[in-house]
Amino acid sequence: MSRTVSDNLLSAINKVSGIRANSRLTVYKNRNYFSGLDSTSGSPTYAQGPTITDMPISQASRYDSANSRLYTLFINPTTEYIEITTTGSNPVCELNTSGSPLLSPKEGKIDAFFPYLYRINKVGELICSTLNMTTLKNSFTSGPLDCVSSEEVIETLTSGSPSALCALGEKEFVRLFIDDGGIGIIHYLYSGGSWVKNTFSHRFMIPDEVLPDSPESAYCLNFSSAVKRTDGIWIYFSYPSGEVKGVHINTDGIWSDIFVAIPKDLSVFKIANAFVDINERIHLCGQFQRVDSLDSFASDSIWNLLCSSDDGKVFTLDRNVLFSLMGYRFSAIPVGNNIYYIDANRYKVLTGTYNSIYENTDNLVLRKQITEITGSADSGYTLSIVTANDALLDHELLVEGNVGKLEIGVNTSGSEIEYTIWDTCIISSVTTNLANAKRNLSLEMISEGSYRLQQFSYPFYLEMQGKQSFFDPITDMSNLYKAPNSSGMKEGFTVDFWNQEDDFSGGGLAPMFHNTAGSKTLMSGDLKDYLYLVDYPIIDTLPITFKIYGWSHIGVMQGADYINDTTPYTNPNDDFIAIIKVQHADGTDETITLTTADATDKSYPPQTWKPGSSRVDGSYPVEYIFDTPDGLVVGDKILEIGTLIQSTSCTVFYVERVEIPEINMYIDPDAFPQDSSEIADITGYDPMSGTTAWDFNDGTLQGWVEGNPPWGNVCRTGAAGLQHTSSFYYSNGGVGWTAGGGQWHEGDASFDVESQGLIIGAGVTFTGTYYGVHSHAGFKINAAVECTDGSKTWAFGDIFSGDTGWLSEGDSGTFTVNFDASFYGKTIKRLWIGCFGYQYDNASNKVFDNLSLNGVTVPDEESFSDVTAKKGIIIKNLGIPNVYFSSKPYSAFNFESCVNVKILGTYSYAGLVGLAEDGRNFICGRYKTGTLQIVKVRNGETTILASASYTSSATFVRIMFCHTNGDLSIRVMEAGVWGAPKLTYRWKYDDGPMATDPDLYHLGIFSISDVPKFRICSFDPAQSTFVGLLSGYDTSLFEAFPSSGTIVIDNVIYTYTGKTGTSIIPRGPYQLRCANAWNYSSPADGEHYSGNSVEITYFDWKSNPTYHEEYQNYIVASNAGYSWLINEIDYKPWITTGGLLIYLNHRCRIFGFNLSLDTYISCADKMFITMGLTGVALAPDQESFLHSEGSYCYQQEENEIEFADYYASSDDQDSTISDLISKICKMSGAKPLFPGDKTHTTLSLTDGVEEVL
Amino acid sequence: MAVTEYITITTSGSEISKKFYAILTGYTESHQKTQSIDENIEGDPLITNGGIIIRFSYILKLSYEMEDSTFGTKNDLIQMYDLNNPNAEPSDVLTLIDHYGISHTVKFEGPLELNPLTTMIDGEDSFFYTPIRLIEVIDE
Repeated sequence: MSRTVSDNLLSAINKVSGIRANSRLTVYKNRNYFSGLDSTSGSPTYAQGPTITDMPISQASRYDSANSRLYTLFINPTTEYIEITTTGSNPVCELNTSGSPLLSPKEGKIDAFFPYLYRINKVGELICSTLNMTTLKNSFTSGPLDCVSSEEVIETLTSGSPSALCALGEKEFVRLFIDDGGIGIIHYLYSGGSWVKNTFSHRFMIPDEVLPDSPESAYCLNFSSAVKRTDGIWIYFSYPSGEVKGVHINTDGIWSDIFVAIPKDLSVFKIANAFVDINERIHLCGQFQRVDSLDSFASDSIWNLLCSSDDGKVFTLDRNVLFSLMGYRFSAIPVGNNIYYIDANRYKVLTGTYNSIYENTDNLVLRKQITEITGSADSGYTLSIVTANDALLDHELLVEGNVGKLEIGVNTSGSEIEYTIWDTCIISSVTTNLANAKRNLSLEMISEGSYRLQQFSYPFYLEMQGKQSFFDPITDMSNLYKAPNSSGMKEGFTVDFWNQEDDFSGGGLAPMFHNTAGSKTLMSGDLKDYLYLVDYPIIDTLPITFKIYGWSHIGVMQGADYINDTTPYTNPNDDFIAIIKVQHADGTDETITLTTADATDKSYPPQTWKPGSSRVDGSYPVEYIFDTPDGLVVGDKILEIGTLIQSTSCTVFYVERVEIPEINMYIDPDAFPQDSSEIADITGYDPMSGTTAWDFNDGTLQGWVEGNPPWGNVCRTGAAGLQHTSSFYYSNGGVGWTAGGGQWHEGDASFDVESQGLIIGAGVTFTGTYYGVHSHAGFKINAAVECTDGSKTWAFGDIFSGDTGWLSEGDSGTFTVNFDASFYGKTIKRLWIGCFGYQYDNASNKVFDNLSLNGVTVPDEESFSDVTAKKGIIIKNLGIPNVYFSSKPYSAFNFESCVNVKILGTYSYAGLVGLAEDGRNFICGRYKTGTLQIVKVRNGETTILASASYTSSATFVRIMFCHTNGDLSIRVMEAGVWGAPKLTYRWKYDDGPMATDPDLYHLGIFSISDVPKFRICSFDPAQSTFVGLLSGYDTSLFEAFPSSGTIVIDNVIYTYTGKTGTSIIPRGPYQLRCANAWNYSSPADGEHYSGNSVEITYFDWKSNPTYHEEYQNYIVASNAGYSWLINEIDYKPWITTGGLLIYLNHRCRIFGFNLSLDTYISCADKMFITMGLTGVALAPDQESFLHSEGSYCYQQEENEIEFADYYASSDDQDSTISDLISKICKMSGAKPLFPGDKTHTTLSLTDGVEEVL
Repeated sequence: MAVTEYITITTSGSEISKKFYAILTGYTESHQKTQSIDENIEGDPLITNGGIIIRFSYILKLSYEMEDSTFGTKNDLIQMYDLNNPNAEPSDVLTLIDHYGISHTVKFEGPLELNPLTTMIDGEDSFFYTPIRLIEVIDE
């Protein structure tokens, strides 16, 4: 510790006669605390109680030294008049201008720097009003106070009104306003005769919340403040989530990054005001409360804190910051040596503490009372004090926590004692020793830093993070890991009723009936288990459409004839009524059953069995609308659906399935036998490929670095290195040099590859053209490749042959220097090009010119892949979003991340995720050939926020995705250089919260090969050549399949030769009943049928002559691997029993092409009438495989996604251990010093040269 | 001011109350100030005063027997001296009425030594010079 010692003191100490030393201790008040107010009069009637409210009244307390008055300005929350009062028993007055009241939206915040009042009026005009301070000096009387001298409209706001205005000085303030979901900031300064605006290019973004541009949102802006000191302007805002963040404008008008001023710790800190003290320490006054969503640690107590910061960035939260538990929204206003703690003109005034007014605060000097001082700066001091008159025993300043300034004094001349500060400490304990004739005190004092650090605690959670940056070469999965809760395969909601075996008959779901009036409830069963979903489908929009597919007819099962069925045709068939069982956000389950009146059209399907029925007009499907009044809430999870089937008649009925098109469900990828990825050798690794990468014809070096002297030109005489002043140049379309006569010259230049991106294990080929002039003995061109292992290999161009083949004047042509496959397994660091020669001519001649390096090619593909390879992640699955999180940085709100990835295929996307909670909630910057996109994914649903056309010529594309406080961007490295962003996006309110988790913002990589696909009924190549589309699922992607081609099902590759039409609605599932051969004419309508058939429980009593070929050339498919192409259908199948004609009025008979009766079939099989692919056969070398119901059929095309490396960095400041220690110390109130540290304002580093710090 | 030629010592419950003669040179009232003297770090004294201790020292002239029973004998004094239990009745607290008739609450301090002046150590003619010290205490 160094101390300032005066010359007089040194002289006294050095006196041979000795010195008389003494000491003294000055104790300063270091804390204010009160539990009662000095005055409550003059408070407006709308003053709020001791609480933290979401709707604070706007108030600003400011002291005017000229009037010696402390004023408080309000916006009356009822009238929205701006009102003013001053301390003492004064009324609240309305500010008037020319008889009219000043108005401002009650949700905003006004502020003043006398005589200027900054406000926004009711029509959105931002106004600087000048107040008549003479009027304000007079005694107040209630009512209007006409005291506005003039008003100036600064600007008319088109948005962001109301706002919070924070005064900084005379005609200077900042405005915080709602800016498309975030909070924008503008600095206003009247300068040079006009108002100058400085707008923050980013915003305060609340990760899990966006603020609507509504007046109510502006209430939260009241919890803000700004101050100005010599190093610029500091702006603070209390986030609704609890922490205080800030931003700084330096004296050049440059905005800083956003920083955390007060972190949250199951707590909120609501700013009331801020001020700067005489030593430019910033003080932040506000309300503090413990909050906890689980209520374990929440408290109703509101603490009033006055925190401080020297650097403006980190505020203290030590024990001395608490000044009251009264809980009002106190502002702390310094007035001389006092501080007014004031809220709504209620106040308490106390002398400021040492923390704000330093040695001007209350103090106690102890000198004669001290009997002994022992200790050291490290361990602290013990002061023994005798208080002979007992006065110190209960002195209010001799308490723990106060500041003690310990001084050593020496008589310097005469009786003068000159003191020098020995240490400034905190009283850590006071011990009293009382006995007869003994009144001793012992003060334990420790250094301020030690004391504050010992007392400092963050009781729940505190994590200090510096910048985290990580490069992952992805040679293994030690960093990347699969994101939890992956998205799965997105499908529209559909489910059948084949999950309820209690309703089965004959092994499957058979048609049902009731012979009198009756009802039946069919439920789907647990959706998640039955459909292999990653989670229950979530209702993310309302209303939703509930579609019930099925049939019902009146009468009895297997009627002999509708003529003999005695059921009156006027009887109603069944109504199908929608049932939905949901789980609300609070965990409660609710089953909601609609009524027939809720059906959007008919509540029943067509009744075709008995002619004359009025219900032949039924709906297929029967549709219902569920909405909020029915009891659903967005966010509900659908646990189960069902159908209530009821009629007053005897009926036969069958329900196929239910669809809800507005709802998505996500199939668990684990249900499919697909490998997601593997670490393996990647192919085609050519990030620097291109034959015209460096063409010098434009006269620029394009990243190549000259030697020193230029191009490393060395001119020698003989063997010695005598430098010549010739110059090597690169203009006029090439490189060359001029030289003096008869000298040897050589020169080179290099290109840094390592800093542009790694090239691992590749060969390099240089190509170029040359043109030689005036060479005596000729010249040569060579090139080299330098690797990170230190190797540097030079080689001549192909036009040279050893020591022969020198180029001469007039020569020209092309050259190639080839390092074919020479650097496998190495990392290339730098490329070199050089030339040298000898000439004796005069100085004005050139040895050669127009050396043009046309390009460097780093070959790849096969020549590379079969040697030492670069490993990476190869994505293997199709149709499934792959999200891998990076272990580092573990969480970053603002970030920069980068990936090097090969993306081949029309449907292949790859990129980077950020602000991710899990595999279903993140934002993503991604690329596919031709397109860059920034997307938002919520519950697996992808929304494209922005896109731009872009195509990279490189096989491997290096993509960078960045986020800075609501601003997103994608860059792509081209020719080794990051250019300007290719795509940017500014987050909008309509996009919703940026993150779905308030605390975790993971980073990682993303990919999907989103090739056309559809779910299949099933497929067994040993039984069938048709692949049918599962009913209820999206048919649009099937339509994208070409008429013939190659498909992949469960990793097995097939070819197909055709596809059916796409104009039907796939039906089913139905139950298979039987298979038979027939040859008959229909007894009902005479249509003739012959051949092999299957009967399935699809009933529709309609004209065979008209409809028998309705589904011809479509597919009847099972879920057991077999399927056939349909020829025709008998909708009125019949049999005879005992000679009696019986119509099978619960099924149809399907005659197929090549339908084989040898196929093993079962009543347990589901059957579908659907579209699909035909002529499906195993591709060569593929093995037969039974693909079950719901498997995905993918269009096979060339698509590859291979990640070569990954890099990410959080936006936190780069921190050393000392930085983190410093931050902790500052939070505790201690001032850390690192005396051994060296700070370099600037430091230039040279590659390969060690810099001793 | 009226003075008496004797002092009176009475036990706390007035069980024993006797007069005693003190020889002329044998009674002293002393006031002792208690204080501590520290030196501060500059070498100056710091004096802290404590309480004032008031002592009464008498040399009593006792007899084995006294014709006037209001006067205490050697055994009376021993009996009062031996009162040692502050919580008993009578306690160790005594009331001294000095020669000025002023009452003091006192306790015995120091030894009780009965020094015979005569060869006869019993009877009315036996005398003992007996120094006693009484110290004024708080009336508990």
